[in-house]
Amino acid sequence: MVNKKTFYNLYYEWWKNIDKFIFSLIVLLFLIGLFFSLVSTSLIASDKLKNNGFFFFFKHFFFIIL
Amino acid sequence: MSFLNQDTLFKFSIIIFVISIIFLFLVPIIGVEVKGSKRWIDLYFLPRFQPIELVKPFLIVLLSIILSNKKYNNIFLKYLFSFMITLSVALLLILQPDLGQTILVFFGWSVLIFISGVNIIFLSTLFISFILSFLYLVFFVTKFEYIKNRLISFFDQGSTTHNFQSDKAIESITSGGFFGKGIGEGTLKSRVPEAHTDYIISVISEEFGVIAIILIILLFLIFIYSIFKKVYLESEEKVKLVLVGCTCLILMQAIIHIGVNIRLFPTTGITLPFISYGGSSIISISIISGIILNLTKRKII
Repeated sequence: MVNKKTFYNLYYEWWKNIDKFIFSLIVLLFLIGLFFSLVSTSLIASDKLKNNGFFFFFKHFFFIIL
Repeated sequence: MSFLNQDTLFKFSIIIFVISIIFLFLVPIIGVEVKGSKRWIDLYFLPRFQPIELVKPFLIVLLSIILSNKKYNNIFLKYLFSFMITLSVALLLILQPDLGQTILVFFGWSVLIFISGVNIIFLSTLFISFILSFLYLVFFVTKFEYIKNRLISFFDQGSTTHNFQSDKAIESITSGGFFGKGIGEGTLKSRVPEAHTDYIISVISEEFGVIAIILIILLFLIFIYSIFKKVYLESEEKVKLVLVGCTCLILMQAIIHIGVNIRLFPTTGITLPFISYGGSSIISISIISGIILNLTKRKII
């Protein structure tokens, strides 16, 4: 219970103090990158690597999440 | 990164820098060779990655700590010490060889010493020495003959041997026009091997048109402007240096990427921050974003 509250406080402090405009720009740029990796690279993956058509998209998505 | 306390961030950065430098040092020994360059490390407990992408953000933090150190008053001693660290990273990069990243690392250092108030004559002398060293490396060291060939073919418009990728990139930008051919209609991604990393801007331009590129550039400019606005209000020199260094790294990388795609610069393997596909590159840009978010946080007094 205490840990949950501490985590909440930490997250709340972080959210309260960060520059939300810069944060939203970073998120937006990452989302644009993710979108382009979905629409522009699936052909390469399926043609050349003989792999899942969304291989690059999922890999890109995994690294963004990481 | 953005969750950390500022002091913890600076201490943590030094530790990570040392670890990543060890990885960079290991590249010539246990690195994986891809297309003639040994830039990656493949450890069984980690995915394959490029150690330089991890070094870059922490190098900026470390150089800023050195340059803003109040204990030593001799500014030239600080320049020398920071230069020695940058040079050691650059030498490890030259061994790979990775001239694009070497230029980025030196550019980062030059920006930091410029912001810290360097004498303009000193900076000009340094710039000339860089150019001379670069020319020496390219024209007299056989390992860099591929760069000489790229430069020659870049200036010789009739040559097609080394301009294949750039020519195809230009063709696709032109064929895309203002509004593009439409999603999935582009052909560049199947004609150029590294289209999803080094030529992503041309791929986007072909499918979504120049308008999409203008919007992306605009977003980058707004992002950089909002950070510089924060730098202007910042009082601590160390924070100012880190913010400017990180922002200039993103800006320079974007300029080189777009420049290569529109044949303004010779071919180099530089990705477009945030947009290009690439595991190490995404991790690096995430670290830089974390540092920026941390240092632009509202201060609690």
